[in-house]
Amino acid sequence: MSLLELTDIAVEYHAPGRDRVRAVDGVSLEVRPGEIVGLVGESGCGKSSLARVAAGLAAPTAGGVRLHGEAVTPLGRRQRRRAEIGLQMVFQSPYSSLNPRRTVLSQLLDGVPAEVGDRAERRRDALGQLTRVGLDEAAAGRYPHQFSGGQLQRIAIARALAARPRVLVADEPVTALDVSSQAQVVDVLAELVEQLEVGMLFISHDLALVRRLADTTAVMYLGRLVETGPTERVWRRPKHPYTRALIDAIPSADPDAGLPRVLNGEISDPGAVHDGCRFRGRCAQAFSACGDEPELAGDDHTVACWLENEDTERVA
Amino acid sequence: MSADPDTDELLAVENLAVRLPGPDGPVPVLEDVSLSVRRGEIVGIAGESGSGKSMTARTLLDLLPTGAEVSGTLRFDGAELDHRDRKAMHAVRGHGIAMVFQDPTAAMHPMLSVGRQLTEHMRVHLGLTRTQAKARAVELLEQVRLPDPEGALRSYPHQFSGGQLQRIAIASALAARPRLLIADEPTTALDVTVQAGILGVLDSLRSDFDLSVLFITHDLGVLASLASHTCVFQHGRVVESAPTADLLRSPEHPYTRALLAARTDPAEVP
Ligand SMILES: Nc1ncnc2c1ncn2[C@@H]1O[C@H](COP(=O)(O)OP(=O)(O)OP(=O)(O)O)[C@@H](O)[C@H]1O
Ligand code: SF4
Ligand SMILES: [Mg+2]
Repeated sequence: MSLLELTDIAVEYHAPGRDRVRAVDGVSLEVRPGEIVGLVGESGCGKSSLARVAAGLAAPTAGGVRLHGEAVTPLGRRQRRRAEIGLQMVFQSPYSSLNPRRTVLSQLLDGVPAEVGDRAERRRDALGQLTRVGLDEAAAGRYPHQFSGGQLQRIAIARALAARPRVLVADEPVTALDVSSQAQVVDVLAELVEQLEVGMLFISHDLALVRRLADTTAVMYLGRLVETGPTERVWRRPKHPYTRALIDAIPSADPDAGLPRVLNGEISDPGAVHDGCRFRGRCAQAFSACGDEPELAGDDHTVACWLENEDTERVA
Repeated sequence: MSADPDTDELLAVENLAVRLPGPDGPVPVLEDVSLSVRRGEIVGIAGESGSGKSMTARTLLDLLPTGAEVSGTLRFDGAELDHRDRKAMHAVRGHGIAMVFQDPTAAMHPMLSVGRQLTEHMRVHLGLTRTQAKARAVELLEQVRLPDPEGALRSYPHQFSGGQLQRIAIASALAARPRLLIADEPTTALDVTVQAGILGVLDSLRSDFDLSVLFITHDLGVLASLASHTCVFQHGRVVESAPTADLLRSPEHPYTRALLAARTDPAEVP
């Protein structure tokens, strides 16, 4: 049973004096309890726009978000609403998501629901969240500037967890950290998802990180999903030419591998989506059929590419 | 061996130690660092943040905070550099050594056109006329493979993506015809697809123009096919220094092994 269900989400921006930008264009995705879904794609492909909708922080232009089968009212009247419905978000920069002038404890207490009990019980709960992310209880009395980026991000995670979320949406949560703190934060996240049976949508432009963490990988290109599937299958047998190009672009530590392969062109402006497959302009395998837009097809491992769809037909 | 490694040498750092003033006296940030870069060679510096990678670069560029204590030998282009001689250090920074950073926007003025930023630099430092400077700017942008260089000169920084801006920053760093480019995590903030393009640009600048590059990164994989030699930094020291291929095939220091183990490599895919 799916915990978080996104159906046909579209997000449009309409900045004055500019063309309408369709940043997300018909994305459907689900997250199950205890599952980590990794969303990858290049900068500007619409990952954060989708994340904000998934976390109930922004209303989609079209489509619906359901949590445990219940429709999520986009942007509840009160800020609290999000906590009540069990969606929490972790952002890229722990520096801007924590208040520099308040102690860690007081910020953790914001998240702890009133039902937990009286002041002392809520305090004990907040301290428990801290130790859960691998920090000492002594951290509670300190201020954000007294921590490293990796520690701060773990505090931000502890605060999100204090609210008992059922789904965590993490948008580039470790991009701002150096490698050793990245590993720590990623390990903490993976452990928590397993222990607490929450679902997580983990967004990153770092494909290698997503491979390490996610059960399911979804690849996004210009506002659309082009491939989804169990992470190892997507890695070992990528079906979409774009997924393959992303994997080929990762430098290998094998000294004989040569420089990583360069994908031609740049991700184009989503304002200028043309007919047909959006990847067409950069795809070395484009052919006549690609003038029409391919739909995501397949059971467990889905792909939106005419090459694959044709194969399926030929086999059938 | 036909080439004499000594005459090929562009930069040599020997037994460099740097101490920065701290509340309880000087704090050592670099100890006994030695490395060298030949002409037309890319040398990698790998390590985590705080390991002393950037501090080494700052020493070479004379960008250390006041009160820093420096000892050791620096040799650049055949001449011994006295790090206490600010004028000499300044001259090297202006002409011999240039730098690009992780965040390309930091190096650009947001309100000035790309053309203005590139050409003004050359008119001041190289004494070129406006027309000469513009022609050179177009040439530089072509070298970093920026599409439509002429159009780019008329544009402003916000009109470019991060990867395009990083190419412009590299072009701008090359404007004064440096012998050595220090690139400090120049691709860390970029998509892998964009990173691949920048690595290609640096490699061709090396092979076509004999540019030397000191490439600083936390990702050993980036160096595998780019750098001929790699130094691994930990806690302000060089813990391993070897030809990159050897270092990757048989890492000797546990820290190098840990760095390698921490990354997911596409080569693992059968
Ligand atoms: N508030 C906004 N107004 C107008 N356009 C926007 C706005 N936010 C995002 N966009 C545009 O929507 C598209 C998708 O942006 P989004 O931030 O979702 O991408 P992303 O995949 O998260 O990128 P990154 O990896 O750089 O974070 C981009 O073209 C962006 O310029
Ligand atoms: S549909 Fe055509 S253009 Fe698009 S990815 Fe497949 S082959 Fe390439
Ligand atoms: Mg984003």
